[in-house]
Amino acid sequence: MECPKNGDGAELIVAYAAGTLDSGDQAAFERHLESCASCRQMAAAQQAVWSALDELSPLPVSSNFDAKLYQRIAEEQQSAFWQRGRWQRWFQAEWSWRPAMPVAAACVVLIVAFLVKNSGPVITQQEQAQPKLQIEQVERALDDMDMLKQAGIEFTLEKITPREQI
Amino acid sequence: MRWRGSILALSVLVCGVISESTARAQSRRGATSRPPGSPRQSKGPVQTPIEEFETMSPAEQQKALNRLPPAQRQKLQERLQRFNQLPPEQQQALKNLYNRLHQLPAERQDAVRKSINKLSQQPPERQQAIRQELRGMANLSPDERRAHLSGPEFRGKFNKKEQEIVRDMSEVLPPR
Repeated sequence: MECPKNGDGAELIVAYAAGTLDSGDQAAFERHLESCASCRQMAAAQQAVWSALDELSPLPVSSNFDAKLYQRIAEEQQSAFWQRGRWQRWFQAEWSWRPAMPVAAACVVLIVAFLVKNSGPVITQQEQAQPKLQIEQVERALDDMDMLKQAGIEFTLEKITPREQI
Repeated sequence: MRWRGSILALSVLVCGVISESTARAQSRRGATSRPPGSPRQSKGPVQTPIEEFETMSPAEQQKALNRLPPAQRQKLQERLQRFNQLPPEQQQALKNLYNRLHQLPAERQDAVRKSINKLSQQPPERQQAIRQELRGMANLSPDERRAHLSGPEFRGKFNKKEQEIVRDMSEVLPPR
């Protein structure tokens, strides 16, 4: 067997000290230990650590330890959720540019619509420069006046109402 | 997460559409032009287009007239002159009739115009009878006018066509 120190030595020695090696590997490693003082020393140190750990007696745990632990975890998660700002949660680490594309497209559509709608300021100014009254309206009003005059009812009726409030 | 972009885009579009329609409504509210034939909604004294034209400055009047071909412009100026030569009472009476006509919905305006045209095609004595009838109706309240138009005396005095003329023309009678 090649010396474990040249490859995965530490893992092999730890596994040997923990007793998790299969019987074949364990036998091969023990044969190696007979001829390698350095590995022997490391294995002895590891076994001393494992022996010391075995001597430690575990602290007594209350019967509802798990329930209390899970409750505390849940409370801290909830608290952390509300402490983070709404916008912080919105733009948290999962943000990517892909969802921003529809927003950008919507903005482009609005900007184009705005530009198209306001593309004729010269025409608007021309329209504003023109008198509000269209001369054709005057012509049509005169047509109506002629027609009403032709009806011949304006004298007799309008004596009653000199100027009406409409 | 995949929906956030779409929700944001939708929000932007909705805001844009709302602001756009608001701006459009405001611009419509500010617009002064009125399609021909549409009824007037004003509560105060209403100026006819002739009066509006006469209140314009000479430069504005000339600018408006210059939009017409020379022959049409000349004819319009002559018509305006003839109207202004009428006695002031007759001018005012015609303006009042005009304003009442233009308060009616477009289809009723057309009906009145057609009836006035039909009146001119009647024999002179029937024209006189119709005018006399309208003169009498001018002294009645709206309810009395309605009752009169559906009464037997009126029906006995005028044929169907004449009744229609009186009924249509009564819509421009002044309020009592």
